[in-house]
Amino acid sequence: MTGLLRRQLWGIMRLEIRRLFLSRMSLVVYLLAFAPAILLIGHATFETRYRQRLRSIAKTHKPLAGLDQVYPGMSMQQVVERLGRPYAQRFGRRGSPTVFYQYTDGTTNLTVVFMQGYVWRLLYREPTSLPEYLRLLSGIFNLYYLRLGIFFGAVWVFASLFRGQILDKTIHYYLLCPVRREVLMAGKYLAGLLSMILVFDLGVLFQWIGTLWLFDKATLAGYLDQSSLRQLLTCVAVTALGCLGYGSVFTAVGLIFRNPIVPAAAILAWEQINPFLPAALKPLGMIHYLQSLLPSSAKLDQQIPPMISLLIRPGEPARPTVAVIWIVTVSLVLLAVCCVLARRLQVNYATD
Amino acid sequence: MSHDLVVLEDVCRFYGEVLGVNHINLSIGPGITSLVGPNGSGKTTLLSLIAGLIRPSKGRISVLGYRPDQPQQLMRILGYATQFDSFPMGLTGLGLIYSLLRMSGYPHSDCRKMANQALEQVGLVQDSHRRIGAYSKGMKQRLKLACAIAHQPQVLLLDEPLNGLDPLIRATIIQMLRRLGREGRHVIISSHVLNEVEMISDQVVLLSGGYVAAEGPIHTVRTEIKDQPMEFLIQCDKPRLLACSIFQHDHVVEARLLPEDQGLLVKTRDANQFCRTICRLALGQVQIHGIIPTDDNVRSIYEYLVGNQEASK
Repeated sequence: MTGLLRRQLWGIMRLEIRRLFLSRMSLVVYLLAFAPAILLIGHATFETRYRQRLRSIAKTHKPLAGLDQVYPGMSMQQVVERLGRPYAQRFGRRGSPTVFYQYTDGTTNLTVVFMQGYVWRLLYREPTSLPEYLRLLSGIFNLYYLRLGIFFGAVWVFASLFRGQILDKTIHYYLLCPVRREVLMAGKYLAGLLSMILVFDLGVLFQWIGTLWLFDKATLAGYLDQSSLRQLLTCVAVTALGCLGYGSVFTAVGLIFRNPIVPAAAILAWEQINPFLPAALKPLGMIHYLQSLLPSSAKLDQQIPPMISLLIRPGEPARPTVAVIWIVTVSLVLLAVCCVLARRLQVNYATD
Repeated sequence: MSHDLVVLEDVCRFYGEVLGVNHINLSIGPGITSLVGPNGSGKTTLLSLIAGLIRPSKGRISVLGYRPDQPQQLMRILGYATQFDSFPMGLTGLGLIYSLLRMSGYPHSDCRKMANQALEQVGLVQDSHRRIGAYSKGMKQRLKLACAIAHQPQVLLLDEPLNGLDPLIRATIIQMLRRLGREGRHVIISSHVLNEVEMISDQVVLLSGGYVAAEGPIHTVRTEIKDQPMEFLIQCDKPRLLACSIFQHDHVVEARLLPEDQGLLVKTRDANQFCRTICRLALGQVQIHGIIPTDDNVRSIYEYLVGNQEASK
């Protein structure tokens, strides 16, 4: 790469990254990327406090026996004899014969529901285990991040690389610079790609931090030693590939269509119905290859409802090398098309 | 293709079925050239075609030998201040010019120096660190000019460059444009302000309905308009006597005495013959103090050429 070309590319990326990170429109991308992380971190904060509270209660109101020593049908007196006085007690609505007793051993919370003086139901709230949280993360990544978050982020960022600037009548500043249109296209795309990868991969990392935060060092050490760490790295890599693939698609859409919303909606529909398509048509969707790269998708819990399972698990996943090559090749072809389109781009704001 | 001319050969541009410009043939040399014409006459289209922002439906354009579809070469010698007041968000005046120069591939140190020089020329140095969003209309106008001249282009296209400028700044900018014209740069201006066009232009291109109605130095254009008699104001001691004498000549179509001895207004079909007649009369009984052509200006040319066409529509 010549010095001039490098300087031009960096000049374009510098201006674009600034525009993408600091504009009001980027708030939407931040929201899409960090919404799950915010929810998970919020949940982790709440859960940590809750667990601390249970531990401190257990110090003063330790049950006399294990929480599994009570059964439905026992009388209130029998329960108190077995577990001792509850740390909290409340009554049902006025006129209702329901009474709730709460016990904790420091980790599990038990709510004993009495109906007319006898145990009617036992509600255990046990701490969620790390594998369960990892399944949750996998679900969030599959159902939200890949299918919606990255998709809409790419629509927002890449479709506006050219179209957004045509609409706010600023693209001519770029076109009046002594830069090849191909270089301009490459600079804009790379800036969008870097911004998207940074934001969405940070989103993935924060989701994991929000989840792992809940567990002690011993649990984490056991987890990090296992191959499960690969799940995180795969998510990061698949996010980057998703940004690359959807980025090239929506850069082209932004250059071809005056209103990218309609084609974006069509592509979204196509991607969403991918699991229900015949086997011959499935490979025509980006989501098929992205999901094929996720190791967790093959080891799903059998309890997951069949519809959701269908959305998460590709019918016949493509081999990882095939998936990566397909995504990269399609992206390169689309970017070549974008270069031709950028070369033909004319600026006539009155008609745009 | 000439390497010191902006050449348009049979250039046409249509927006769907709407005519932008049609059969434009122009050769624009160094100096200040003004594009004059009513709204929708094709001035901005012509500038955008030269800058390569739009492509001609037909015809060829060459800017000092470069084609508009080679931006990497053309934009090194061309600067264009468009009519649009929009700017990339969140930048300061200095930041914008600096970023555009960086994008053009200039090294960091040069960019800073060139950006400051450009801002200095348009009198915007003091506000260069303010965000563009806080700029007034006049400041934005000057910033656009600064963007266009920052890389010291040989060809400068300016779309309504004096819009929104206060008289002092306007004078500064006019001075700057004149200097650029004198330096041998090609300054092509589109303007509605006919007085200023006349003041600064070396030549005019009159556009009407997408066609070139006339082009060349203002005086030449006026003499070529044969169907409109030329008008002179003669200041003398005996206007009545002069009116009687001069009206006997065939080339004089009208002689009108102005009130309060302001002089005599004469319309003639032949300026040369008129001059000879006046010389003869001046040697006789009439003492002539001055002869002023009153319609040898852009406004009159505009009215004769464009006004008639507009009226006939």
